[in-house]
Parts: sequence; C-alpha cells; structure tokens
Amino acid sequence: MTDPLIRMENVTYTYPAGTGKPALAGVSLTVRPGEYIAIVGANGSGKSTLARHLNALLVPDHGDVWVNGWNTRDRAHIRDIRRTVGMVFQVPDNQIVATIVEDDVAFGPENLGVPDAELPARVAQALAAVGLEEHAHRASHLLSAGQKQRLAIAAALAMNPLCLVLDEATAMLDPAGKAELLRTVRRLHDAGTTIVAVTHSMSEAAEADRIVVLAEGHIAAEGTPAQVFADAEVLHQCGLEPPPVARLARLLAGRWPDFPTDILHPEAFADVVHRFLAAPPTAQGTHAAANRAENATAAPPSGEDAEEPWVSLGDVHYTYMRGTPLETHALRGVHMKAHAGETVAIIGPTGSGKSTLLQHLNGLLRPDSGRARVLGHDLTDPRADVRAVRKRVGLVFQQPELQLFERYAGDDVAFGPLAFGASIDRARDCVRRAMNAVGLPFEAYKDRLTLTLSGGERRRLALAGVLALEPQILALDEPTAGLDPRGREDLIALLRQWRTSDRTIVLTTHNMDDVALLADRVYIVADGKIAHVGATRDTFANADLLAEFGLGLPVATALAHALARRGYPIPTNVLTLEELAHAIVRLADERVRV
Amino acid sequence: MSASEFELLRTVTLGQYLPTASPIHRADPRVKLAAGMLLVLAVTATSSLAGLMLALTLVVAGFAIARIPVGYALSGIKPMLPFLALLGIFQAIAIPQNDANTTVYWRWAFITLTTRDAVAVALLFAKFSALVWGLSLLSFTTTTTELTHGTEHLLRPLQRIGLPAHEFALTLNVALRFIPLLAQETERLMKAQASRGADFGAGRGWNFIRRFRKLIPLLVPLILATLQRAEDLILAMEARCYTGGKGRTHLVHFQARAADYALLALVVVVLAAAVAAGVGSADTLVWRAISTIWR
Amino acid sequence: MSTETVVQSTPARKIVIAGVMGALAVFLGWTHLGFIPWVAGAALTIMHVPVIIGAVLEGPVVGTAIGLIFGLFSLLQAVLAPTGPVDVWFQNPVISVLPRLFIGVVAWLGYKALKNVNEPLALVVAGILGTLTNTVLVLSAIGLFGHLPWGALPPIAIANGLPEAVLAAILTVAVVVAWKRIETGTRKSKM
Repeated sequence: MTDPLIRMENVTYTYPAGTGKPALAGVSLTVRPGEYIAIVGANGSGKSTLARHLNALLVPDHGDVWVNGWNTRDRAHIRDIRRTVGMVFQVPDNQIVATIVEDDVAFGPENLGVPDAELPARVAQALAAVGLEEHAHRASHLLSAGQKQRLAIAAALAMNPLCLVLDEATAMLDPAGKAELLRTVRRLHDAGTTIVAVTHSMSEAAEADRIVVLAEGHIAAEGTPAQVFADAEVLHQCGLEPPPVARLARLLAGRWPDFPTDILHPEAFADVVHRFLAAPPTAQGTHAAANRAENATAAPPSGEDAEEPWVSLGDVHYTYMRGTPLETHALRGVHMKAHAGETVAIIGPTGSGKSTLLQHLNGLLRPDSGRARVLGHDLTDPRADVRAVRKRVGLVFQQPELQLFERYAGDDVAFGPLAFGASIDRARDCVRRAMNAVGLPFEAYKDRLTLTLSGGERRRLALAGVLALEPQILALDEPTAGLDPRGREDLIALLRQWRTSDRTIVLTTHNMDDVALLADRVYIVADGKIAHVGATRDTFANADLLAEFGLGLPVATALAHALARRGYPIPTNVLTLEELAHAIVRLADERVRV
Repeated sequence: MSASEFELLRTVTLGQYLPTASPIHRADPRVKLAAGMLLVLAVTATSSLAGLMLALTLVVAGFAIARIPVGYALSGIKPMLPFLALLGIFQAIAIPQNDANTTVYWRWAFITLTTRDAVAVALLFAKFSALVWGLSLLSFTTTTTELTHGTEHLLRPLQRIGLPAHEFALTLNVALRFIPLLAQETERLMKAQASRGADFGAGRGWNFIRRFRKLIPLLVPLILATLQRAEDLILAMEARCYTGGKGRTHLVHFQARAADYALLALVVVVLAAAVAAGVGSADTLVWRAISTIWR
Repeated sequence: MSTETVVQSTPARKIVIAGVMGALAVFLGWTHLGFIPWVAGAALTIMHVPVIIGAVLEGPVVGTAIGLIFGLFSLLQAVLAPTGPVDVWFQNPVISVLPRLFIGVVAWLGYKALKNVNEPLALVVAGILGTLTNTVLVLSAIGLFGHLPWGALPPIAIANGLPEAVLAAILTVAVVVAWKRIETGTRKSKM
C-alpha cells in the first residue's frame, strides 16, 4: 500500500475559550493519496475542527498530525503543509480575498513566491479546471454563490495541492450550484486529487470511497458508504439519517427480508426493485390510473372558495434600484393567493424573485404596480397600516440566527412584542409560549447567552422571535437551508405542529422534500413570473416541468419516476418514502394475485 | 414610507468608471494616483487664486482628453452649489473687512460686499472645483482594481523604510471587499427588525436617545456578524499561506511608458507653479486686476 | 463555530480586522447610519467606534490603520460630497486624517491599563478615551488653522464630545463583551 498522505494519531483538541469540552477526543484517521473521503456528523460533532487539523489551521493539544511526512506542529513546514492540502470553506463570500476573480486565484501562489512569470499560467489553469476562465476579470462579489465556491476551489488549486478539503462547501448552494460543484470535485478526483469532503448531506457522502462518522469528537463509524449506511441505528444516534434510498430499502425489508439495505443510488435501487418484482410487465400505460387512485387521498384542493383569501397578489411588478444602471426587474406580473389554513411553497431557481415575492406579504416591499391584499389590508395604498400587517404576518428571513442581537435569549424573543407596545407581563406570556413552542423551554433558556446556543437552537430561537407576535401568517425564506438532518427534521415537525386551520404558511425553499412534507400547493417562480401553480402532488407528478426550471423532485417521487420509466404502473405522485414503499408493496401484491 | 425604504443601502457602489478608452484611461494608474494625491496636497496648500486657476486648467484639460461628457463633470459640483452660495452670504455678513486694500462695492444695512469677499468666494469655488473634478477624473478613468493595485505599487518604496505599505494596501483591499457585504447585511437586519415591529421611519427628531436605541439592535449584530465573517476570511487567508508581505510575488505589473513619465512631469510642474503662485505676489496682482475691472 | 477563540495574532488577522473595521467606519459614514441628529442641527457621530473596537481587539497598529482609513474617508467625503461649511475644513488632511491616527492608540492604552482589573470597565474607558482623543485633536487642529476662535472650542467639545463618548462606550462594551463572551455578572434576561 502507498504511504498515507495524511495521518492523524489520537488527536485531542479543546477550544481555548469554549465550554472546556473537547471538540476532538482521540481521533485517528489516515488519508491515502487519491482517496475520496467523506467526514459526516451533526453540527457540533467536531467535523470542521477535524478538517482544520488537516492543514495546520489548528494544531492538536495531544496527538499528532502528519501531512506528507511533516508534523503540523513543525512551524518550519507550515507552508509545505498548507500548499499540499487546500481548503474550501462553507460561506462563499467569506473566503474571497480580492475584488477581482483572477487576483483572488493568484493570492495563494503569490504568497508562496511563485515567480511572477509563472503566475498567469497558474491562474489560467486553475480557472479552467473549475470552468470560470471567462470570468477572470470580473468583480468577485458579482459571481453567483455556486461560482464563488468554484472560485474558492480554483484559488486552492492554483497552489497545486495534492489534497482538497471541502468544509461543508455545498451547504449554502442551491441544487444547481451544488450539482455543478460536485461535478467539479468528481472531475478533480478523477484527475488524481485526493478529496476530503466534510458534509452532513448523506447523498453527497455517498459519492465518497470511504465515510467517517463523527459524533461528539469521536469517530463513531467508518467504512464504505454501503457499510456505514447499513447501520441505521448508529447514524440515528449521531443525529444523522441514512440516505433516502437506504431508508426505503429498509422499509421494504419488511416485505422482502432479503432486500439489500446497502443501495446508494436511485438507478441501482430501481434495478433491485426490478429484480424483486421479477419480469417487467408486458402491458403498459397504467400509471395514469395509478395517479388517479393516489389523488383520492391527496390534500384538500384549495380552490376559489367563497371566503376571501388571506393573501392575494395580482399582476405585481417590482423593480430594484429603479432608474440606476443596476436596475433589476425582480417581479414582472405575479399572481398569487394563499388561503386560511393552507401551506404554500414558492420554488424556483436562484434569482427568480422568490424572496422579493415573500417580502411583499408583510409590506416590506410594496408593488410598483398591481394589486396586493393581505388579511384585508390593501398594501398598494400608501396609507395602509403596514405595522398592523407586520404584526399578523410573521416573516422569517434566511439564516435568521445571524440576526439575533440581544445578549439573552429571552430578551431577543421579546423584541417583537415590546416593539408593538406589549406590556412586560403580556410580552413575557408571548415569549413563554413562543419559546415553549419551538422546543426551547422558557425557564431553561430565557437567561442563556444567545451566542452560546447551537446553530439549530439559534434558528429556533429566531423563529420564536417571530412566533411571539402570534401571527396568522408565517412567511419563511429557506427555513431549512444549512441545517443538519436532525435540525431540519425538528424544524419541519415544529412547522407542521404550528399550522392549524386558521394559520397559514408561505415558504420558499430549494429542498423539494421540504415541499413534499409541508406544502398543499406549489408556485413555481421563474424570471419574475409565476410559471406554474398546482397541488403539490400534481406538480411533482410532472417531472419534465420541474426539470425545465432546473428543479429537482422529492426523493420518493424521483424513485417512483425511475420505476415508472421502466414500465411499472407505479403512481408518480407519491411524496414520501412510506407512500412509495406502500405503492411498491401493493404492486407486488397485485402481481402475486395475477 | 416608500417602497424603497430599505434601498438606500443598495446604492453603495464602488467607483464610477466610464470606459471611453482615452489616453488618460490607458495611463499608468500609479501616475494617475500620484497626480490625484499631488492635486489634493497642492490645492489644500495654496490660497492663491491664480494658482488654483492653473490647477483647474490642468483638470479641465484632463476631462477634455478623457472625453468625459460635460454633464458628468457638472453633476459632480451640483450638490455643493447651494451651500457655496450660503458660504458667500456668510462671508459677506459675518466678516467685516477694514482693509485699506479693499474696495466696497455695495453696502446694505450690515451687509457689505467687498473685493476681498468676492475673491474669497471665488477662491472657495476654485478650490472645490479643482478637488472634486480632479478626483472625479481619477475615478472616471481608473477601475477599482487599478486603484488598489496602483496604491500597493505606489506604496512599495515605503516598505523599504519599514512602513507596512503592502499590509495597508491589502487592508484597503479587504475593506473594499466588505463594503458591499455590509450593505447587504444591514439591509437584511433592517428588514428582519422591521418585520418584528421596529420602526425605522419615525423618531427622526431631536430625540437622539430613541434613535440611538434603535441603532443598537442594528449595529451590534452587524458588527458581530462582520467579525464572524472576518474570522472566516482570516482562516481562508492562512489556509492559502499568507504570512505577510515578505517574499510575495505579483500577478499584476505596471510598466510605465514615456508618456506616463511625461504626464507625471507635467502634473508636477503645473502643481508646483500653482503652489508657488501663493508664495509669490501673483495673488496681489490678480486682486488688483479684479478691482480695476470692477471699477 | 467557536473559531473566534483562536487567539494567536497573525499578519492575516491584523489585516482582516483592520480591513473590516475600516470598511465599517466607511460604511457608517457613507450611509449616514453613523450619525445621530443632535441639538441645533449638529450630529453626533459613532464613525470612530470601529477604530476603538479594532484597537481593543488587535492592538494599536490595527487601531492606527483603521484610523487612517477613517481619516482618508472623511477627507474624501469632504472633498467629493461636502454637505456644509465644516466639510471645507476637513479638506485639510491635518484636520481630517492626522487626529484619527491617535484614536486607536489612546483607546488601546486605556484598555490595556485596566483590562486585568475589570474588563468591562476597561472597555468603557477605551470608548471614552478614544472618543475624546478624536474630539480634542480634531478641534485643536481646527483651532490651529484659525477656522474657529479657541474660545469657541471647549463648548463644542463638551456638547458633542461627551455624548459621543457615552455612545461609543455603550457600543464598544456591547460588541466586545458579546464577542469575547466576557462575563458581566448579571446573567439575567429582563423577561
């Protein structure tokens, strides 16, 4: 076997000003040249801390790390180590040094003292490797998030590293950006670069040759993706969940005890189902009937009933920075309705106008033209009482945890009620209810320092800050983005619980499984217009429509489509893995009867 | 409240580059930057009308060569016209001149208009125009990148005498990177707080305590978020082997041509003359000339 | 993530902190967020607070660099977008740039002297000293160039300097205490 590229031995590390609990406790790990390793774990499991030990950004308290034979404690080789192991971090904006793309790529080699004459070639080569050569002279802050991450990769590549460490590099990207980044990484790996990817996305981890599961600073499991995903119990204990295909396999194991549980990819899954259902059917074209059957149990249609919708936008236009060179038409004639008790999802590519649309719901933005009525208030009227609307329409922004500003958790939640003039006693009641509702018990959490809460807790606290206003409509911009699997699961459960017949949710998201789990109806926004509106089930049954806008499908729906493509009469409008498993079992039963 | 209540922040854009591909655009950014700095120094140092006129001529010539539309040039000084007028009035009212050398043209109640007043206002106007137009010319003809690179290269000699010139240039670069991020972040925070009942529209009066109390929930998370971003950027820089200016190489190089040296020489000569005019007696001459014509 | 606890001060750290705090000072001035209307048309400013915070976090050199950016910006603003007669005086770098170079140093000295006695108190002192340095030096420079008679300066120093010092102290404490997770003893929300 070849010599390891990186060797970690029994590494323990505690942050000097942290809680005193070690972030890494006795971790040993070997990375061989050319490997593709995924390091997975919930937030706070120590995976980023581990990543930072791989190129001497952190040095262990105990134990050792060797990179290419150099000990990371040896400051004399720090440049050699960092040149060997390149890093890409999570937040696109926070790792770009220069204002111009090519300058940013040159920053690393310039630091290494690469001769001036060699620099242009290095920069060009690195940009070509990530497909950004045409952007060399652009302002770096004008790139899309996905392009910024590819720029970060190019910046690392320009130093000719042997290994690339990606520290949750895809967490902030939309599906298209994510896919492009993963393709780039795959290409680099094929060309010989060693990859260490830190992630909590199990479908990304499935790309790797080897997965290392971290929990509370320990390695909880290690092995090939198939081995690791087969042990659902361990994953669950670590705050993770197996990739959907593996979970489905487990659901089917009840019916077929020898159904393999180590499948990782949808196509492989379709193959196995195919084998278990024996020969493909001869008669085709039955899945329309199947769809109808599933429709009977679909969510209640929220048609044009007699009651006035709570939200009603008609032909809304909105332009940012009108009259300047940077003018952008964000909305160009949007029609949208949301009724009492409904959950509506707004999906669409990045930059399509989703967030702009959401900000019209509570009068943060007012239409340039068109109609906007929310809870009986006409928002096109300049004299409309916007604050009254804002009190009843709670708007939660992307990554709301970054917007907490009070020192103590309870005070932050109280901001809204107090700003709307509630007495301290009344505010305390609201805060108590809101904090309890989001699973941060008032008595236990009100005096906690907001900065010491975990990422998931902080997001729920921010949500409590909006719920404390006791709104009728909750508008959420990308509520699950960047959360780890357990954080996402908790948040979705919380939203499902909050929703009642007299409360409405409008959310934007890139995650189609969020839509499947939450929404009754779906609006697809593209280029500032509503491109499609329909019941969630019907919308996802039409895979071509979603593909047209670069949108994916919920995992269960995607698998159903894969089976349907092979001619099975499987309903393509299933939304959850349970529904899909049920449909497959029913199909098998029917075959037995025939 | 208008639809663009929060939009003022988006208007934070850097530079106002106008690509007309003139010789001035092609000039070495180091020379342009040096010329800009010399202009600021010269104009601040001199109080001579003749000198300022000389500097102004230089700047106007630059505008002509750079083919900047007159409208752009004029828009630069428009905002200060009303307040220049105000200054003129202030000068006429407040400072009584009992100088033998001055002529009184007009007197009404306590208002007196003298030669000295006229010259003072002309001086102010000339000073302003020279500065505003000089620096606008620089930003119309030089991209932000050229400016940051130019600054770094221009400061490089200071490195040799032990000043952290490279470090300062990189600091400026980081600052430029962060200004649009700050604008975004502030807009998000303001919107989030407005959604929770904060009212940024009201309270404009003298009640500064209330206003400050509204700023705290905005500024504290803004600064904390910025520091958090800074931590990320520090890691990113260290991961890319940044250890200071020593031993660094450079992607961008400037090659000064003969024309650049000529331009620099011209600027130096003209500005030196402008400063010298204040020292000599040229001013008194202009003064006399104005008085004579007026009579 | 608690990466902010990596205390080692490297060149990258100094440059980035100086850069972002410089950007903040510029941003506060540019958007006028850093001005609070005060009596008689005057405005209180907190544009110098990033200088104080930077100096407290990263020392006097970083403080001076931020002060330089702040000063250069107020020079540029006075030249390119003057809004009143006072801006004319600030077109002189001795008034707009030079005094700002000392804000960070003085604030840091105050902080360092008291840090080990009582850190929150040290922050208050840094805020006040930094602000007063700004006020006194800028006004002195204005006096030196004869823009205002010396006698007019102390009232201005008191009317503007003192409230600004209070605001700066409040902000410095709020930010640095939260950032460095300094214990202040209360540990209670008002709820």
